[in-house]
Amino acid sequence: MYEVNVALLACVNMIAVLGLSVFTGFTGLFSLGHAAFVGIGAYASGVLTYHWNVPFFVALPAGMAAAGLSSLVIGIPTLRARLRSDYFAIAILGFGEALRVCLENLSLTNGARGLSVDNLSSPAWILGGLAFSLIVTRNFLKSRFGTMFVAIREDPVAAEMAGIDLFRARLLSLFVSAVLCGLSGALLAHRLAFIQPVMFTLTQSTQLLASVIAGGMGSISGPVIVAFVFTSLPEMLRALNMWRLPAYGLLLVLIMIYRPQGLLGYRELTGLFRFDRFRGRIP
Amino acid sequence: MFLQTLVTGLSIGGIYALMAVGYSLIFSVLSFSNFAHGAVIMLGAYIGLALATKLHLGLGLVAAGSVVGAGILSVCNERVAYAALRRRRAPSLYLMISAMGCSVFLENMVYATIGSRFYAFPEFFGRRVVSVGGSTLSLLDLFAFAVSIGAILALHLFITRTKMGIAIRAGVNDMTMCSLMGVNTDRLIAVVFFLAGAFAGVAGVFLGIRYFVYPTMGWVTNKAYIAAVIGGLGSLPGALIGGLVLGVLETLVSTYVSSVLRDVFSFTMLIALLIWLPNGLMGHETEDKV
Amino acid sequence: MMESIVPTPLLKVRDLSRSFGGIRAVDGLSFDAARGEITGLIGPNGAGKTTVFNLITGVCRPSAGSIRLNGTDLTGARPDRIVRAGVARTFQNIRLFGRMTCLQNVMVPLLARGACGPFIAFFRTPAVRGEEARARAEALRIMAETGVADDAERTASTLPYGRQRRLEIARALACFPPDISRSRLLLLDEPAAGMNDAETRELAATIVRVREIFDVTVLLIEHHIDLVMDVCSRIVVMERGALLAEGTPRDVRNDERVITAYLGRPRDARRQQKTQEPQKTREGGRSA
Repeated sequence: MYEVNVALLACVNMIAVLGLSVFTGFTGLFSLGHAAFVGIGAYASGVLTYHWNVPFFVALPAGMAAAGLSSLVIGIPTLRARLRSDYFAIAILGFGEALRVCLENLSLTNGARGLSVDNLSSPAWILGGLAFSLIVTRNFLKSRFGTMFVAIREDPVAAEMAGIDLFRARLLSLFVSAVLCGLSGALLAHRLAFIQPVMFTLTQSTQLLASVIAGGMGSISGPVIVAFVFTSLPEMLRALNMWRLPAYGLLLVLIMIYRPQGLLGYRELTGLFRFDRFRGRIP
Repeated sequence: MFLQTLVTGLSIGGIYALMAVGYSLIFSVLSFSNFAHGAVIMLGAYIGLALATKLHLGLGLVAAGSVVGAGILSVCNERVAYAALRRRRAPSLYLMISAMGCSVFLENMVYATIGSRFYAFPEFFGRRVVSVGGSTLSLLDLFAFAVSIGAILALHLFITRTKMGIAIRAGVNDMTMCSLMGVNTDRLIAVVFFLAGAFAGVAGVFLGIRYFVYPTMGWVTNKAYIAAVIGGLGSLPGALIGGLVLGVLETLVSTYVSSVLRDVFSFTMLIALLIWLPNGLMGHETEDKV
Repeated sequence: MMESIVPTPLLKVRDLSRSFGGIRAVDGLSFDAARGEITGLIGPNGAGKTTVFNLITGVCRPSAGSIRLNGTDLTGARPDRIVRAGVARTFQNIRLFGRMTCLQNVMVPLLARGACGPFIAFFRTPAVRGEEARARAEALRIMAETGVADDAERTASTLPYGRQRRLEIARALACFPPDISRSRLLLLDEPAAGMNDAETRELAATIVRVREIFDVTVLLIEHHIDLVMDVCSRIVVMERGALLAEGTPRDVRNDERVITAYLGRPRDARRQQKTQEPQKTREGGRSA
């Protein structure tokens, strides 16, 4: 039963990594704050079910919507500055910290002590959520939007000269990734039945980023596989827990130096997810 | 009361500026956000702490040791984590990820080896105060402010008056051109990272004295990044002004409004500024070469 | 070659200026590009030619002056708006989407102006598939006309240099919206840089053909003087950001000021130009 629980948590985490992969792996923007969107999804849905007994099937989309809306709040001012995505990286760092302070001091969220919610995320919800996310993300990245995102990642200036509205495309990418992170957060909150502000800080953002980078930029299957391994391995090897974070850090540096494409960079495990290369033959 | 708050704000702002200057310097030369800057500050504070508590050195020697130590660490950081990427002209996204990796690695190595305990510096200043026109000003505040301003002024002189400084400014404009003109870019970048590290060392010691020394103390560099954006990314005078403005406003908010809202305020200020003044107070329009 | 048609200007540039930190890269430049013709933009290195392209396409904003396309004011507009108005360009230092296939590179501009919204894209409806199929067919047609159709499935960054330049032209052609048939301005920034003589001649033929098939007006920056003289009906000569001379290739060739400024010495101009060429080519290669 313990193994099943760990696997289910890994699945929840995979959804968030999928979200960050859209933003970093496919659109080429750096984020150190996606755990904040996970946190918003968790708290928005958690507060709804805890205080107002809102049914889970309503609270879950509400969590996704809250994460999506908050992404617009920071995305609109920061992604506007043309060609300088550093503004976004810095703003989202600050956003994560500001969010933690808010969560720790609001009575609605029960402060730093954390919020105990009901265990509502059944395995069916989690697996269904993961399947839904994978299908929808695959479709989306296969569509014209996915192609536009990759063009922006490859060369923002040329992408703009091809008629892409950089700001809107990047904002859309952020929105989609935040909504997926929100879904992950809502499922997480009601799986663990307990959430705390400290669960959604820079450390968690780094773990998400480590999964995307180690799994490979421009890939869906790579980050998802790595996310599963990263979440389940340390749980199995509790003794090494202390060394997990230094290892993540070292891994990021080593990957960037020796294997920037990660596990499956710009490739996919199965044809199901292929879109970096169109399958169609030339007539 | 107001004067006291103002001086405290300036002192905190001075520390923000020290951090922001180092970050901005690296940003302007290599155009990437060095997220490992906070870890260097933290290590600088630990070095200073060791010198002060184990060797019982005075403040001057503690600061000097910390400056040199953090400077060397910063250079090592560049050699190990960035040099290979820089040489093969990797996208700045890769450099940022590598920097984040360094930061996570260093922080958690300290956590795993030294532990998460909060350490305090010995009281260099005690609770000594200076009275000016009825207000009592803390000596630490005045000292920190004076040192920050002095250090940044010295950096300004170095960059505008010395041969190396002029080479650095040339590097800011065009690194490739600089190397074609016969400037040793590896050495130039080493100097830049040493300077950034040295400033991080001073900032670390002041932060340690003012608050505590602990593994995640480097997270306060968030404020330095915000200060750098407020001033205009990549601009040294901007980093100074941004740091001071942020420090003073933050202190005013936590004194007169609520200390809880302080961090929320900084973030809101950043967002507001990006909406109305996207290039910061001192920055100019940044455009890519096409 | 187009003397029979009364040339009405498609592009009108008036008093255009832009300075970078005190240096006036473009300084009060005015010129026209006649509809349906190929206009050459030449001048010594650093004359500000590429900056003119950057100003027209909105990469940077002019400090003063105006840019009008078919009567529409484009001065300081956002790049993607300018593309939609009917301006497309190639780059001096090739900027392809390296990890995409060549076909995808050409499809990007077509997909960028697609009609399907984000929401239906999640569900891959027949409308989404249909739009993609149309974009693919259109992209392949453009690639066939520019001679890069054989490379459709190749990754763009693996193409040889000359074909990358052609692919950039194909991608630029894909930028033109089908409905604005009367204003299509194609800006080519040193398309022959790094090419040998045979390739350059082939490229010249392609440019002339493309102009007819796609009904485009071309503004061409080029250092291969032979190419410019062959294909352009008018030439604009720039020096230090300002207009030095304007006219037919013959006028320009015989203009004493142009010969002095551009080729250094008046007399043995053609020979000197030949000796300059390898150097130009090398520079083109380095900047890419």
